[in-house]
Order: sequence, then structure tokens, then C-alpha cells
Amino acid sequence: MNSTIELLAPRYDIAWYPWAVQYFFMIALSYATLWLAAPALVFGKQKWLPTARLALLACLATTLVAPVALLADLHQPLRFWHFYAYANSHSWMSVGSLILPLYVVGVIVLAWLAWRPALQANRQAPGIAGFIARWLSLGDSPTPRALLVLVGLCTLALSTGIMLYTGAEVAIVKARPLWNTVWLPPMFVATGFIAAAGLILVLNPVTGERSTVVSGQMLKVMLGACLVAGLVAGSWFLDGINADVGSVAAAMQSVRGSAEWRSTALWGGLTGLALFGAVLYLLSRPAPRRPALYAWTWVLGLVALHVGWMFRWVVLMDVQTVARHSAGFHHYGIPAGSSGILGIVGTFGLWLAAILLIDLFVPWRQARQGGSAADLSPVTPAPAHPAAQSAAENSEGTPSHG
Amino acid sequence: MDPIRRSLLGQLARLSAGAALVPLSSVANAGINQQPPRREGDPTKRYGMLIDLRQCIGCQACTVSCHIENAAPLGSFRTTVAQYEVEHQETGEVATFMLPRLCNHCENPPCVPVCPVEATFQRQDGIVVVDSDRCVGCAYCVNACPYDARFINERTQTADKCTFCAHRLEAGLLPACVESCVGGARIIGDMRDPESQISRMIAEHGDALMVLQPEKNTMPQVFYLGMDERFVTRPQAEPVALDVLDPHGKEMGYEFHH
Amino acid sequence: MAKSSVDKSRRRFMKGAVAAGGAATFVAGYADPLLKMGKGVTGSAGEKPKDRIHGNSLAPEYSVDPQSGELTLNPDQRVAFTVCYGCTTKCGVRVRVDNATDQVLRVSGNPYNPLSADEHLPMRTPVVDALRGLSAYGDQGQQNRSTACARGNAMMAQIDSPFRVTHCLKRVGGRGGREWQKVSFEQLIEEVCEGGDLFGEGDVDGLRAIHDHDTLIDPENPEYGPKANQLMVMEATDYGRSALLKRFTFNAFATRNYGHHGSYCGLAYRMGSGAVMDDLAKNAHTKPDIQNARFILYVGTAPSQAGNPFKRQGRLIAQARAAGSLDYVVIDPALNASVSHAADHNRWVAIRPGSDSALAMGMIQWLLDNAGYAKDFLELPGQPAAEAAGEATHTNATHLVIDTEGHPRRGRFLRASDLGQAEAGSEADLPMVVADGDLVQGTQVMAAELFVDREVAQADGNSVRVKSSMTLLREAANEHGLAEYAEHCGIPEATIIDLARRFASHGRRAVTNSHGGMMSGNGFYAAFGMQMLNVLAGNHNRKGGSAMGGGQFNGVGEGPRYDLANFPGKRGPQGLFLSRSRFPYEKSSEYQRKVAAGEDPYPARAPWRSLAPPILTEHLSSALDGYPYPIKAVIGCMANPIYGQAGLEALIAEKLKDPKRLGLFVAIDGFLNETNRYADYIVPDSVMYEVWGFTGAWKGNLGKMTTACWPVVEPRQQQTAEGEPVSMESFFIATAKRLGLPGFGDEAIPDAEGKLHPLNRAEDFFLRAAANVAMQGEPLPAADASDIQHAGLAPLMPRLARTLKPEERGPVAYLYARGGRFEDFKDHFKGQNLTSAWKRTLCVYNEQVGTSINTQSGQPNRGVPCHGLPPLADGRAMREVFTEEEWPLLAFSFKSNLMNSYAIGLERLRMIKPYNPVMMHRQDAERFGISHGDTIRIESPGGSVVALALVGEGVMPGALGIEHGYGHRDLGATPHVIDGESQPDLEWLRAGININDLGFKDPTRNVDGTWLEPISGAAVRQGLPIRVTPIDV
Ligand SMILES: Nc1nc2c(c(=O)[nH]1)N[C@H]1C(S)=C(S)[C@@H](COP(=O)(O)OP(=O)(O)OC[C@H]3O[C@@H](n4cnc5c(=O)[nH]c(N)nc54)[C@H](O)[C@@H]3O)O[C@H]1N2
Ligand SMILES: Nc1nc2c(c(=O)[nH]1)N[C@H]1C(S)=C(S)[C@@H](COP(=O)(O)OP(=O)(O)OC[C@H]3O[C@@H](n4cnc5c(=O)[nH]c(N)nc54)[C@H](O)[C@@H]3O)O[C@H]1N2
Ligand code: SF4
Ligand code: SF4
Ligand code: SF4
Ligand code: SF4
Ligand code: SF4
Ligand SMILES: [Mo]
Repeated sequence: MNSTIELLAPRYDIAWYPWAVQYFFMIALSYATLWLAAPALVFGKQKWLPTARLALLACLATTLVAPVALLADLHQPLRFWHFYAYANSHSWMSVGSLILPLYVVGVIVLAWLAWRPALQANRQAPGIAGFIARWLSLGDSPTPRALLVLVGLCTLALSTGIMLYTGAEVAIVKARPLWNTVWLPPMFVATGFIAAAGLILVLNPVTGERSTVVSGQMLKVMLGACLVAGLVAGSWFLDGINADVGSVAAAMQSVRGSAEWRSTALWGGLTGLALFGAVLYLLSRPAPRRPALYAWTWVLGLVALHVGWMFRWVVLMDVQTVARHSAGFHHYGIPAGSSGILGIVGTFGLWLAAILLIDLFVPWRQARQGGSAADLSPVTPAPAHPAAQSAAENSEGTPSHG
Repeated sequence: MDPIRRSLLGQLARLSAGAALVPLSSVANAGINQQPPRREGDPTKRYGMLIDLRQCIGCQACTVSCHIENAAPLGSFRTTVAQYEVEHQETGEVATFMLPRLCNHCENPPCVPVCPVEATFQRQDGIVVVDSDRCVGCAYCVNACPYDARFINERTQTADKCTFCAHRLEAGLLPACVESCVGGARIIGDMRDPESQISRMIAEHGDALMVLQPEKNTMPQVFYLGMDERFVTRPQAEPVALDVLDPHGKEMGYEFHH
Repeated sequence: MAKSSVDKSRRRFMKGAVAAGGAATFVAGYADPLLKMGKGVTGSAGEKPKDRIHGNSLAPEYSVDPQSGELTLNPDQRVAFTVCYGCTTKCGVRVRVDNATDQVLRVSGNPYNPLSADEHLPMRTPVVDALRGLSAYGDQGQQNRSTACARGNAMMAQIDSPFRVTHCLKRVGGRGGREWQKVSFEQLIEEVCEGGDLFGEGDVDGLRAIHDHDTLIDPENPEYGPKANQLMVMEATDYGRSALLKRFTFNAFATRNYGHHGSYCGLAYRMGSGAVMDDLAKNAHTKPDIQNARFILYVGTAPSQAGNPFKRQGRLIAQARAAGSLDYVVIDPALNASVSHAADHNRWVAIRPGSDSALAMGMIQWLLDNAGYAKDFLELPGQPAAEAAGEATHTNATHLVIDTEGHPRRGRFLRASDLGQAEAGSEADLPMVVADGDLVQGTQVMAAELFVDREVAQADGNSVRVKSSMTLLREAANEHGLAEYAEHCGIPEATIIDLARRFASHGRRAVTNSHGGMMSGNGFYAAFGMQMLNVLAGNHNRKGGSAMGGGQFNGVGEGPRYDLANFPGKRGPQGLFLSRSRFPYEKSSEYQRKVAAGEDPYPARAPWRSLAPPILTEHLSSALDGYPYPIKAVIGCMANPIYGQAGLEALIAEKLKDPKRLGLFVAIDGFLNETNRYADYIVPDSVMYEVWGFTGAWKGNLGKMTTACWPVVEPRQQQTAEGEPVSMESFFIATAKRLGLPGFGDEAIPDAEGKLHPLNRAEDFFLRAAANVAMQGEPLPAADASDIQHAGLAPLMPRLARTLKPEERGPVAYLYARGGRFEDFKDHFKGQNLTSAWKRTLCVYNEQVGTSINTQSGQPNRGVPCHGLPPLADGRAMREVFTEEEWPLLAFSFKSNLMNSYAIGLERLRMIKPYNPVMMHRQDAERFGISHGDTIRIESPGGSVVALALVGEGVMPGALGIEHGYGHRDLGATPHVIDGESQPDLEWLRAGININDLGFKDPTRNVDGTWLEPISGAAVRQGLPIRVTPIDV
């Protein structure tokens, strides 16, 4: 059929806009950072507390922004209540619409519980910060650790629901062979963790925390996530090459021969490998050299964020341009306005605003696993490594200067 | 790739950790992504369409009449007719292949269960419709239809698709595209009525009929006569040259993008 | 500490600012959703459709109960029958109109009309039954459909097009400047009739001054005729309204110079056909009886890609494909929609553009060599033999032609008078044939010898060489070997033989058909040759053969109710056509002067074509160059030669702008096109569905038919002071009345009793024509109330009442209720013969052609088809002047199956196909370093365009195919300014290319002209020499 030529075929627009990418990105950061906050917050691993603080900050901000992006992908945003009025247990999206608010509430409550002792401690602060602390802390009763653990566990459970539904929602779509694979949900999760670890690597110096412990932990998480992602991608590829999983074979067939897709795949593969290599390199450095090297890990963090975002862009946007019914690819030029670049930038803008507002008004650096204002001093965590002890870790209880 | 290497890699694939995910996927598909019950419409009927490609002359009367009848926005289509230059597999002769497409009103429509608000549903007469009052415009169904049969109507901001012109069928009239089919290729009718033209033609042509993308298990109810198997799935063809050039050769883009 | 606190608050401030910035970007980025939410407060972020399930789908025009079949009309709409102007097929259509807004909602086919319906309904069918028959009731509507094609559907947008002219316009600034001012109709008529210094460019003769039948244009050349001939009137073609235009032109104003698009539509084919049908006056042509034919060779016409009648042919070959009843081959430089991969028994064979005479002569050679012709039929020497054999007519295959060089009757048939058996020119002066070795008159024997070549003693004792027509044909066919034919046309020898063999094997049910593909440099002989195959098959007038069709019910002649052909004071035009057609150069003063001066009279200054009808291809350019004579005014009516004729724009645009070469140019049109852009005045015209008229079919229908149209919606344009819409009709009526011309005004139309009736408005003419149509032969019955209601005739009835006699109204309403008058769909055959037969002698040899002279070379033309390479005007092969080295490819065009020449403004067609990439063969692409989708430059001796290459196998190597209908510069493609206000500027209307921009001036001519086919003067649009280069943009 090499000489078949399509003389006339309609053009199709994409149906999901970059908002979808933003949602999938934000929500993945959200659930992955939640899990990064969990060891310390929920499971009481003190060593992870510095990470947990950054992770919780990131988690809350992304959790708040994600639904906003999701709403925008609806052409009838004000009809969001239809999701609840006419819920359809047959639809993964509907299932998701039920999980998502619970999850968001879970994250908010968890953050509140974690930050409440600090807020209580801040009630006397002058100005608006004090006002907010008074208002947000809802009295001065202690925050039972058990409650925090309970909420944490529930939210973690809900987050698996999010992972499942966001993955399944896309993976069940037979219409797009590149989506229709069991490997997609784990890949979303794995790349989500890569990006989340990256985000914390970036936040670590930006917030002034500069914790080597955090860097070390994140590098390890990233290494693991990279490994899983590589395994998943490899399995998908083998499925396809072997042609015994029809949809994967069809998926590979659908983009075979496209120079753009080849370069996209190459780029993804190479960045992944480079990331993996760099992480491995850093982790294998002798301990004394790490602080100096770790000061640069934010660069890796950016690369990781790029990987996480690009993966979603390619999966959600680029895949929609693969014609499923006619030959070739549909043209999608990202528009400059709201449904395109401005929308993408806008979501990040919102995220930035959210994180800065939290930073401004919430003493997130003092996040704890429960307790009350009175428990705030003395400083609890024993530094993982004396040499790596940073100013940030000493600053607990001191007003934010970030 | 040689078969030995293939099977080797296959073994590898099966051994890989994710094989455990397979049962999970069946839950994702079967458990949750199941067809909700049909509602509305006449339960005594099942509408379907037969397109006799031998009689399609590629005139696009269907495309335009449907567009007018159903007030589709410019550049969005409920039905289309693609045109290909094809080489005959045996004789090597070159000929034109016309492929009219529209919603297949699938027996197992993947667009329906995905709808988070059950705005899109299948009527008891088999017609798959969208309740535009309820639709939230999430476009999930648009992505879920393997046939590009749906679009978001830029004017109503809700999902839009072929309704088999249910408003005309209900008035005892024919859909616009059937009524206007110059070649006489499109036949619609009630497949539960053994006397209907479509039932008789289905009986007559039986195995010669084909549907699009049968491997997706959507069970389309638009049947094609004179189909070349190579077009049942996504055609492997040199894609259409879609650029629009101005008199100086500058690309000017497509006028009706949204 | 203090410092750090300042620092801190600065930091806080910065963070706040960044946060605010982030929030602001967000708000900007979230604008769309926010807007939607704003709108969504009312329940929907979009437009809320009428129905939750059916959206904004149209309300059905009526409903039919599935059990009882009872039909209920929708009181808000009406359905009416009229005609479609979407292409020259002019199908009868049914139009749904919204009663409240007078908007057309959708269009489909008229079930009574054979051009739209599968099997059209008998006239006696009540309209309500016809409407029911279109419904789903009992699946009736899809067992017998009546359709409108894509264009026919989309055309309704023409009515309210932003590019439509609705007001009388007068140019501002020089011609062609696209700037206009509105004037009143009355002012326009006054200025056009009276002339004066209309544009501040000096005095212009008005029509009154030009209307001079007493003064010769040029006393030196009296044959040119009176000055009145200096008005030229042109139109596209008869869209059903020409009768009134011609009444004005020929018989009221009485100018010789009228032209229509025929010469750039399909004239070469039509004349080739006219040559075999012995009808070079009207150039009769035929179409295959598709339903009964077994083998059809489509050569240079593409049924279902285009062709006339577009829908009917498309549908019939589609049905034949499904039924497997027909085998057909499409011989075309490009693959198109007529060849379907979904069915067997149809096939495309690629041919080199402009080389069809080689294929024709190759096939003829094989057929003659292998007795592959209808021997018994061809042997019939005269009508008595034909009748005895049960044939409608006979051929001149056996007739003898005088072939002695220099003989005064060379090229003429040997007639009884040559042998002293009859008086020359008398009834009895019949052609001679040879039967059983004897010379006899064709009427006296039942069979004669086909191949004769002998000396004959004439009455005067001189011996003369005679050859039978068949012998001449065989000689012509044998002039080249099959291998050479194959090489010239690019079709392998084996394929030519196979085609000939298959053609012969189907006997009299094998047919060939041609049209636009014959518009090449040697088109006349190519078409003549192709049509000769039909003669050899003996398929004329036969079931499954070449059909004449039933013709039209003529309403504008001397009808049973009114005489619309004659009127008191009627005049006939005199003198020579501007195109020097139908007039032997040898009788001209120019010729005489040259001979008297002892000069060689050849070549003439420019071609004179004694066989060709008046041709617009020569009219305009000749007039602007003043040869044979200059003109003073042009009235153009919905015609667009500048877009349609290859090379014309470059040739005449500058001259057309010169008021000295042409004083006055009035265009009557619905739109501003590439031609009337140069007009001085625009008269806004009605657009289809708003017009009156009667159309027929361009063959392809076996029965007799007339499609009627009436203004089913109100014309949207300006009105005259009398309250009539300004239109072509009101323009001619007002002009004629102002000039005091006969045939218009109060006493203009005689009825059967000789009483005179007025012609003051369009319907005065057309309703009377309707009465003639309705009441000729067996008169139609009167329409009943149900018919009137179901056919939406309410707006028409008062007009019938005010114009027609009471006894005429019922039958006329009956006619309009069915959208015309159509012979019933019944057996159109008498045994194996078609009822509508062509009775003239079919020509193997055409005496008129064989005795005509090419005025450029002085050589006689061949009277039988023959092969030649496309020549330029002086007889040199085009390839001699424009060599293959320099111009390696040949460009040709084919009609878009979607667009026509003026559909570009229709968004619903543009959205399907916005552009026309050009077709190029893979081999050529490789040769010139071009890949699929590349931008290329195409250059010809006359122009250069930029295109997108579509590289594949679907085109002949060496040829480049260009879809016609794109590449506009007007009709919306460039905004015009009217009263200072600009039309919308939609750059997409300019997209694509027009092959006619690659046409060129024939460098071998002395008086400017584009490249024209020598015999017919048809515009050459197939086989233009070009070269291509990839370009980077
Ligand atoms: N869709 C559509 N239909 C139409 C019209 C329209 O504009 N659009 N216009 C109507 C009109 S006005 C007319 S006259 C008819 C004309 O109908 P056709 O005659 O069928 O159409 P054309 O496109 O003029 O030419 C027919 C074919 O000749 C081929 N051809 C070109 N050069 C050569 C050659 O040298 N040799 C051979 N053998 N073939 C060649 C072209 O590729 C084309 O496919 O169509 C009518 N129908
Ligand atoms: N290269 C190339 N050239 C071709 C052809 C081709 O296939 N290839 N085809 C040739 C053929 S077959 C033909 S017939 C000619 C056609 O050539 P023409 O008959 O000269 O041109 P049209 O474009 O049909 O011109 C009709 C004009 O009428 C006007 N008009 C349209 N609709 C209406 C209406 O409803 N009312 C009024 N009052 N005016 C209206 C528009 O201004 C339009 O331009 O072109 C020929 N030229
Ligand atoms: S064709 Fe698409 S839209 Fe139509 S029923 Fe099937 S899946 Fe749904
Ligand atoms: S776009 Fe509308 S119909 Fe489609 S899935 Fe979403 S809500 Fe349902
Ligand atoms: S049935 Fe109606 S809606 Fe569907 S494609 Fe045909 S015309 Fe369009
Ligand atoms: S209207 Fe009929 S013949 Fe024309 S393109 Fe559509 S399906 Fe084919
Ligand atoms: S063929 Fe189509 S465009 Fe031409 S007259 Fe008929 S309906 Fe109109
Ligand atoms: Mo034409």
C-alpha cells in the first residue's frame, strides 16, 4: 500500500487542551509530594521531616492549583456540579470527580494539622500574619498525632485513587492506541515521582532550606522512579515490538515513520538516561564531596520537572495529533492565548502565587506531626549528618526569613 | 525483525514486572467502563446504515447537506468523505477510493460509558446521542470515539455528533445525508424490521459487508459494501497535503480552525 | 537587626509582588474559562441549542406517519421547485424556505426532474404523493432519491453572500480599479443609452448612438454590416433566461455580435461531434445511454468528477458499477472520481494531454483492419435502406468523395449531377455509391461497398478520382503506424489494441464520449476521431448507444398560446461576426483586394473560421484590436471569460482598461468577477432561486424535459422605480423602451389570435412562455389546491392571475407545482432503437470540413478525422516553438468535483477543500527534485504561478494536472470598494491556482489572440507547455 495517497481528508482539532497537561502535571506533583511528605508526617520518620516540610508545601500548592486547571478543560466549567448531580459509575472521569474533592480536602486538612502547632505559635505575631494565624489555627487545642496519622493515611489512600483514576481514565481509551496500555498508569506515577523529587530539589535551595539530607533523599527517590520508569517504558516497548499486545503494536505503528515522534522518543529516552546517570553519579560520590555537588542538584530538579511535564505533554497533546482514522498527523499549533501558552503560564502563575502566599502567611517550616504550640521548642530533629546541617534546620521556631 | 528475536523479546516482556498489571486493566475496562443501560428512543427499532462504496461518487453532498441540516460550525463535520488514490493489490491499477464516514452508532460504543455525567447515551433504537443540556464539555467522549465521529461544537460548547438525523427519522423523513446521496450509496433503516431495505441488503450481502476498526470491539452499525480491507483500520497512506498557499506560496493556514 | 527587618519586609514585599504577578498571569491565562463561566451563569457557556438532543437541526419541512403515510406540512416552511445554478447542469431542485424570514433552509432534488431524481415521477403524480415518496415511509425516499450535489446544497449561501452586488454601480476612477459608487437604476439606463462624458474621460457613445442600422461600419468592407454591430453582448450560457437577452440582442437592437462561453467550454468537442452528426450549425452532440450500454470509453470527460449532467451521469454509472452491468474505461491524463476502486469493471488509462487524435486513429486503424465495425449498418447507403433495416438513419461511409487535386469539386461528394443524372442542387442530386461494382445513387440500393477508390468518368467526359468516405478514413488512419500512435499518446500499443478489441466486442452497445478533454490544440480532430468510433460502432440512436436525448418543450418559440419568437418590428442581424466565423474568408473584401492586387491572399490577417460558430474566444480580443472592426460597447451578462479562457487576462486586461478601445462596458451580474471588474456599470442581477426561466438538459436524459424556475424567494437586490427587481430582464426592458426598440413595452407579445400583450416585467415574458410549455401537445391539467399548497405556490398565484388568461392559470400552476414539464419515465425505446432519434446522415466524411480552408496556411482541411500534433495558428507544431527541452511538461486542467468557476465564495465548500494542489507524477517529481507537499513554481510562456505539489501515480508522466475552480482574483478574492466601503477581505478566497493564468498569446498570430484550436477557435486549456521548479518559501 505504499502508493496510497490521501487526496482529501478532514482536519480534526484536539479535544483536550493544554489545561489537561497542567492538571495531570499538577495532580501528579500533588500525589507524589504527598508521598514524599508521608514518611515523616504520617509514619513518623524524623529523618524525613525536612523533606516533608518542603513536600507538604509543594503538595498543598499543587493540590490547590490542579482542580483549577481541570475545570478549565471543561467547555462548560460552570456545569461542574453536573458531575455530582449525574454521577456515572461507568466513567473513570466520574469516579475521579468523586475522589478528587475528597483528596483535595484531605491534603488541606493534613497540611492544616501539620501546620497548626506552628500557626498557634504564631498567633501573637504582628500584622496580617498574626491575624491569619489566629484565624487559621482555630483555637489552641492540641493537634492529636493520631488524627494527623488518620487523615494522612486516608489522604494517601485517596491519592492512590487519584493515581489510579488519572491513569485508567486515559489508559482505557481504545481509540488512541498510544494511551490504551496498562503501562500508562504506572508510567504516570513514576514520572510523577521523578518530577516531584525534582520539584523538591528546586524548592530546597529556593526556599533557602539548602538541606543536603533533602537532596540526598530526593536523589534516591529519583533514582528509584527513573528505574521504574525505564522498566515500564521498556516493557511497553517489548510488548509492542513483539506485537502480541495489539494496542501497543498499533500504537508504535501509528507513529512509525514520523520524524517528529522519533525525535521526541529519542529526546525522552536521552533525558531520562542522562537524569538517571547524573543521579547515580551524585549518589555514588564520597560523602564529603556531596554538599558542594548537592548545591547544584536544583539543576537536576529542573530536568526532572521537564521530564515529568514533557511526558504528559507528549502523552496528552501529541498523541491527540496522531490521526486515528486517516493517514498521518493532524496539525496542532499551540495557540498563544488562554487555551494555549498563556493558559500554561497562567497555571504556573497561580501555583507560584499559591506557594508564595503560603510562604508569606503560613509558618510551613515548622510543620510537625501533631502537637500544640507549646511543643514547638526544643528543636526535634537530629541532624542526619552534622556537617550537612543547614541553617534552615536550625531555624525552626524562628520566624520565617525565607 | 526475525521471529526468534521476536519471541525472545516476548518472553522478556511477559517476565517483566508489569505483567501483574494486566488483570487490573480488565477491571478498569470491564468493571467500571461498562455500558450504562440504554434509555429513551423506540425499543422496537434498531437503526443502522449501509454504505455501498461502489455507488459512492465522492460528491460530498452528504457532507454539505448534513452540515446545513444540523447547523454544524464551519470546519466541524458529522460526516465526511475521504478520498484516496489507491493501487489495486493484484492488478496494480490505480483508482480512486472514497470513504464516507460518520458515527457508527456502535453496539458497544466506547464514547458512552466514559461520559462522566451520562450526557451521552445510547437510545433504545441504537442511536447514540448527546444531551446538550447536561453535557459538561469535557471532551472525554471525543477522545474515546475511535472514529473521530464527535467534536466539541464551538457554538454550543458541548459534544456534537451524528444523530442519524433522529429529528427527521421521528418525522418519518430520511436523514439529510441519505436524502442527498447522489450516488445512492447510503441506506438507513430499522434492522429489526426484516422487510426494511437495509435488512434485506444485509441479508443479501452478508459476509461481504465490513465495518471500521472491528478490532476495537465497538461493533459498529454502519456497514460498508465494496470495502477494501486495507481501509478498515487506519489507512497506511501518504497523508493529505493540507497546506493552503497564497498566490505567493506563503502558507496561510486553515481558515476554519477553531 | 533593624537592617534585617527592613530586608525582611522588602523580601516580603517582593514575594507579595511576585505572588500578585503570578495571580495576574493566571487571571490572564484563565480568561477563556472565566469568560465561559461568565456565560455559563445562564446555564450554558455556549449558545443554547433549540433541542437538548437534536441541537439546532432544522425543523422538518413536513412529517409522514410511518403507518398511514399521511403527510402533514410544517406551516412555518414551504417547499418549492426551481432550478440550481451550481453548474451548467441546471438541475431542478426543491428548496425549503422559512416562511417568516424568506431564508432558504436547505435544498434537495425535485423528484419530477430527471437530472435530480433516480427515476423521475410521472407528471400526473400529485405533489403530496411526490413529497411522501421522498420520505422514509416504506423506505421510498431511498429507493428513489432526488438529490442536490454538494455545490447544489452549498449554493444557497450565494443569496446572502457578502460579495453579492445588490445595487447599480458605476465605476469610480479607471476601469478595473475595483472602486464603485452606487447610482440609481434610472440614472444607469439614461447614461448607458445616451452616453456623453460619463467618466470625465471624454465622450462615450451611448447605445442610442450605436443603434444605427443605416450606416456601414466600414464602407471598404461592406460585409462587416451596420454600426449596430458595434454593440457586443455576451453571456455565460443559457441559464434559462437567454431568450429575453437574445430577443433584445438579435431582434430588437439587432447586433450580430453575441457570444457565450461555448468556445472556452467544450467547443472543440462539440464541433467534432457536429462533424459526424452533419450539424456544424448547432453542433449536436450525444451522451451514452448509460443504463443500457455495455462498454463506455470516456475520453476527456469524467462522469461524477464533473460532466453534464453532473448528478445524473454520476448516479447512473454508480448504479451500473453496483449492478455490474457496464464496463467502462476513463482515458484521461489524471485519475479522478469517475474511477472507483470499490468496484470492478472500471479502469483508468492515462493519456498524454492533447494527443487524443493518436488514440482515436490508432483504434480506428485496428477496427478497420479487424472488421471491428458495424459493417451492415455502415453499408446502408441511404435512408430507404436504413428504413428497410429498421434503422433511424444511415451514414455516408459508402458515399464517394471527389479526390482529384485541383478539381473544382475536390472534397465534394460525387453526386448524381456530376454524372448528369440530376440537376445540381436539386432534390434528386443524391450522392453516389458503388454497389456490386456499379455506380448508383445511394437511395437506390440496400447496401453499397464500403471501400472504394477508383476513377469515374464525369458527365463532361473528364475522369475524376473518387474514394469512399471509408477509404478516406482508412487512409487517414493508416498515415501512422500503431507504434507511432502509441508513442504520441503515451498509451502502450497493447492497450490501444485491447481497448479497440473490447470496444468492438460489445458491438452496438459500445460507446465513446468526450467533452472538456478535447479542449486541446488538436481538439477538433481528436473529438471527430473519438466520435467516429461511435459511427463505426453504429451506436447512434440505439439502445445502449449514443443518445440524442429528448430535447426541450420550447416555450419561447411560436407557441400554442403566445408567439415569443416574433413581434412587430422584429429585425434580424446583418454582417460579419467579430470572430470572423461562419463566413468564408474567400468571400471577404480583404481577400478580394489581395487577389486583385496580385498578392497571396493567405494567410489572412488573423484566422477566419468558416465552420466555427461565433466564438467569444476571438470576439473580445479581436474587437479590442479592431480586426475586423472595433466595437463601442459590451454588455456582459453573468460571464467570466477572463477567468475561464486560458491566457486571456494577460492578453486583454490592459486594452480593456483603455476607453478608446472600448467606450462602454455594462455588466449584469450577481457578483463582481474577474471580467466585470473592468466594467463601467454593474447592473445587480437576481441570483438563482430568485429568477424566472426555463432550462433543459445537456443531453444525458432520454426523455423530453423543461425545468421551470420562478422566484421562490424574493430577489434581494435594489428595485426599479416601478417596483420590479433590477435584473437582466429589467435592464433590457428599460433599455429597449428608452431606445424605442420593438418587441418590448406595451404591445410586444402576440398571442395565438394576434392580440398584443405587454412586456414590461420579466414575468410578462416568462409566464407566457410557461403557458406555451404547459399547453403544447396535450395540455397539462389544472393544478388543484393541494398541489398549490404542497409546492409552495402561494406567492406565485397572484402573479399568474395578473398576467395570464384564466384558462392558462391552472395548467401553468400545474407546471410550476412540478418544477417544469417532463416526459414520463417510460420506455424510451422502440425495439433496439431510441425513440428520440437523430435523423441526419451520419458522417464518416464531412463535406463541409473537407472543403473548408485553413486561412493561415491556405490548405484545405481534412474531411475525415486524422492525427496531428497540436499546432499553433500558423500551422507549426506547438512543440516546435515551445520545445520540450525548454518546457518539459504539459499542463492540463480538470473540473473540481466540488467547486465550479464561481463557487469559491462558498464556505461550506472551502471547508472541505480549501485549495488545489497540483498533480505530478512520481517520475517527474524525481526528475525535478520535488517531493510530495513541496511548493513549486510553474512557468509557461504566458505566466507563472506558485503551487503545492501532490506527487503520486494518478497522473500521466510528463503531465501536470490542475483542478479548476481555484486561484481567483475576484468574486471576493480581492475586496471592492463601494461608496467608500470595502467588501470583506478574506484571503482564503485567493488560495490556489488557475491554469488559465498559464495560458499565453499565440506568438504566430498577427492579430493578438490566445492559443486557439485551429478549426473551432476553442480555447486551448489542455496541454499547455510548462516547466516546474521547487522553491523555498
Ligand atoms: N463538479 C462540477 N461539475 C460540472 C461543472 C463544474 O464546474 N463542476 N461544470 C459543468 C460544465 S460547464 C461542463 S462543460 C462539464 C464538463 O465536464 P467534463 O468534460 O467532464 O470536464 P472537464 O474537466 O472539462 O474535462 C474532462 C476531463 O478531461 C481531462 N483531460 C484534460 N486534458 C485531456 C486530454 O488531452 N485528453 C483527454 N483524454 N482528457 C483530458 C481532464 O483531466 C478532465 O478529467 O461539467 C459540468 N459539470
Ligand atoms: N482551465 C479551465 N478553464 C475553464 C474550464 C476548465 O475546466 N478549466 N472550464 C470551462 C468551461 S466548461 C466553462 S463552461 C467556462 C465557464 O465560464 P463562464 O461561463 O464565462 O464563467 P462562469 O464562471 O460560469 O461565470 C458566470 C458568472 O456569473 C455570475 N453568477 C454566478 N451565479 C449567478 C447568479 O445566480 N446570478 C447572476 N446574475 N450571476 C451569477 C458570476 O459572476 C460568475 O462569474 O469556463 C471554462 N474555463
Ligand atoms: S462511532 Fe464513535 S461516537 Fe459513534 S457510537 Fe461509536 S464510538 Fe460513539
Ligand atoms: S463532552 Fe459531554 S457528552 Fe462528552 S463525555 Fe463530556 S460530558 Fe459527556
Ligand atoms: S444521519 Fe444526519 S447527522 Fe448523521 S451524518 Fe447523516 S445527515 Fe449527518
Ligand atoms: S452523497 Fe453519497 S455518493 Fe456523494 S459522497 Fe456522500 S455517500 Fe458518496
Ligand atoms: S449538478 Fe449540482 S451544482 Fe450542478 S446544477 Fe445540479 S445540483 Fe446544482
Ligand atoms: Mo462548460
